Amino acid sequence: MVSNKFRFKAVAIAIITVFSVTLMPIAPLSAALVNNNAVVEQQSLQANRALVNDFMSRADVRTQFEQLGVDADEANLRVAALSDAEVAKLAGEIKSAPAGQGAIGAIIGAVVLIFIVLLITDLLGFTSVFGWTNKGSANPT
Amino acid sequence: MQHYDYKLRFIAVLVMLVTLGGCAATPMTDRLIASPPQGLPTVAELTEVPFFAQTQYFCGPAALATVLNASGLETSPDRLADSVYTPGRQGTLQSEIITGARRQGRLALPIRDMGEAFANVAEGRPVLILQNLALEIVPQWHYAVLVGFDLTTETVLLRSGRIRRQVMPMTTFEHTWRRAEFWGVSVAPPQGPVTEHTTLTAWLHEALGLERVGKMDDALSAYGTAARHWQDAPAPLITAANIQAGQGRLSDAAASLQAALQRQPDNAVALNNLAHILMLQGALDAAEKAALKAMELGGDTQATARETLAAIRARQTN
Repeated sequence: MVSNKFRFKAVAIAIITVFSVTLMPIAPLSAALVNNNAVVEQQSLQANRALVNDFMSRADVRTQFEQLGVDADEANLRVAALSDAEVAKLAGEIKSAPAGQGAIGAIIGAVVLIFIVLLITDLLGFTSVFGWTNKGSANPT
Repeated sequence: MQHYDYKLRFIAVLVMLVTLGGCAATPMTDRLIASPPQGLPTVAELTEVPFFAQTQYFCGPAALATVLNASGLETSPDRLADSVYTPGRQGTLQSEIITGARRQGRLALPIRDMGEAFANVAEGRPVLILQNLALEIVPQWHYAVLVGFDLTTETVLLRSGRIRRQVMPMTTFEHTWRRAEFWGVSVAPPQGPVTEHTTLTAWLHEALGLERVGKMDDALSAYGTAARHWQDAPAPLITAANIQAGQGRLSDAAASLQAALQRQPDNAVALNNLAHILMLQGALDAAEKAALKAMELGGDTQATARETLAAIRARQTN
């Protein structure tokens, strides 16, 4: 038993040594330094949030929300509740939407986007904006 | 269940409408013709971009050699083939184009839109694009290089296959490019210039790519270019500092981080990393001050800042 325990310890030390050596090039100085993967990732998340927030504060977008019967501030709260991945997806949609080129396209793009935002939150059960997505469903009157 | 069926059906209809609409139409072409973006010339052609006639299956290396040469790097398809051609697939994967450019010390910036591609060409930078020349069900993948456009004749100019100057209608170009999900790259040297549509995120991501292939000096140069181009952003200076620290240039790293903090005094990452560098330099009191501030700011960096502070205090007591 004792020799087994000893052997286990020796293997553990060997494994730890190997791992610390192989991990060395990735973190040459110390784990306490925030590395470039994290810095670039963080910058990207911030840029996505900023893009979505800018979009949400546009006058035409606020108007569209109000026409759908959603208070613009409430819409902002919904966006703030989205995860990083969802915000990244939304930012992608906004980037590919025709910003400022051809008014009709922009409005249609905006409306579709808003549908996507609300559909996400609706389907997740956070909101219930589209009563008509539930028609003839679980809540018959 | 019924509840869900309705939602699913609604989404299915929405998806169908969007994809059906996308099938026949060429919205990017229409938009560019109807209302060209401000500042975009009507006609542009990069006549000086070299041409490498592709040999069988070698469109990937040929297209990559074209844009690399245009970015000021002398190379040829044959020299690149080893690193970007996959014999088993008789072609080049998209990821191999990107890594191929990085291995030559170049940033492969993503281009996903015709307007953006045209703007790059207008600024003197050709765009490598993937096309599906046939149909979705029987794809025929092909790499070509966009070197010009003419909004009056509604055509684009390509270096493609064995044709030095291929003239293609914008609509056909859009169809063939859309079937490849508008995949394209603009190849930039690390020292810039940065083209108009480039985002800081994309530039930093590619600079990080240079680090991954071990091109540390090129990565550092790319971060420096970003720091000059985006003068409010702290991120390029923080990333530059990490490379400088890795190269043992601690005072350069500290200077970069100080500059990042001038741009954004409450940047927790910059404070934490500066604390660490100051500690390595032996300036323990200043290091402690920076680490404490990083910890007070909270957020994602707090746990790391706590470690940094502990390391500094351990040295203080010794």
